[in-house]
Amino acid sequence: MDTPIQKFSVGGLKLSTELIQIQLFSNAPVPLNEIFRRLTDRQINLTGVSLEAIDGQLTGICCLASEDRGRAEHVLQPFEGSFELRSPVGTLTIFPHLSRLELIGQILSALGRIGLPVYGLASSHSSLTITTDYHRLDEAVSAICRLVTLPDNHAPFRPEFRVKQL
Amino acid sequence: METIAFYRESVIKTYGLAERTDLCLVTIALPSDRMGDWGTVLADLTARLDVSLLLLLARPLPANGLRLLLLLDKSPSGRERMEAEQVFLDEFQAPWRVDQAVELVYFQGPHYGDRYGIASAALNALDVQNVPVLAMACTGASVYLITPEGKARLAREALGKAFMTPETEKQETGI
Repeated sequence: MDTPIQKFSVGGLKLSTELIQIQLFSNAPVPLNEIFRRLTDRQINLTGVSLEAIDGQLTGICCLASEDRGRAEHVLQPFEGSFELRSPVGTLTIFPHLSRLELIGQILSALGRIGLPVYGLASSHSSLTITTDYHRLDEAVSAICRLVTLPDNHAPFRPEFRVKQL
Repeated sequence: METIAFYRESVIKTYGLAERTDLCLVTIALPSDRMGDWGTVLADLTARLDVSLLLLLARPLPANGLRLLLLLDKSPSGRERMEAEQVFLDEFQAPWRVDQAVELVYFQGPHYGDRYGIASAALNALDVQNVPVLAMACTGASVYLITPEGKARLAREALGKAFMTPETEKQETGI
């Protein structure tokens, strides 16, 4: 059993509901703006987006709620071969990370040691969001809780309601 | 439980557009199955390089890889960088790509994480004005766009035309 030397203080952990990840292929000429426009037209929210153009063309991953899968598949049909859907995935958000790469590295290391897949990472100024297997979110929480201390009376939480824009 | 929200905005609101310049973007392709090892190396990186992390994002690569992008507040010095890179090269056969002097434009807005069309509007705004994007992350209520050197101002102008900022709102309402 791992015994961390130092525990990091964080404000909280938040878990997502069940999500679908769209993974855009970097070697396919994906009309990204067109895909995003079509998803917008069908009022499909992307809960997270990570894109990069290191190879020249903007590509990457984005997530959407699992209940939007059918509509998204319909929207994405013309672009078949340019993407892959991965499901179910879930996200775990840690806040605040306070730009501590030490914390982030230790978390990734801990998740790697238990063989947890990481399908995406994205930070903001305050939070770090890790995308992994939805069915293994509890394992991820257990691994992370061995590294961090949470405020009293805080437990990792799942959203109890969903806000949907019309 | 589901809560339905209506946003009566002719133009999407932001809390303001911000930018940072003279940043450094490090890109590394790492093996997913060795995350336990490189996570440990990564943990020492900012201290080793004497830099601060501004933003991190990663996506899967084909054949068991993860492309990791680290946006740092400044370019690490040559010697420190070479030493740090060597560890990744030796241990994980993962050379660095370093983009110097990149820039960042970022903004937040009401309930962005729950609303459709935000990423699309941002990308479209930049596309219309031919502003190149090196990377983009939308997480929670925040949108981050990394641009090459000298492009943040153009990106900010383009976004300012497509989104409402406190400045443009003031001009419009006179308040």
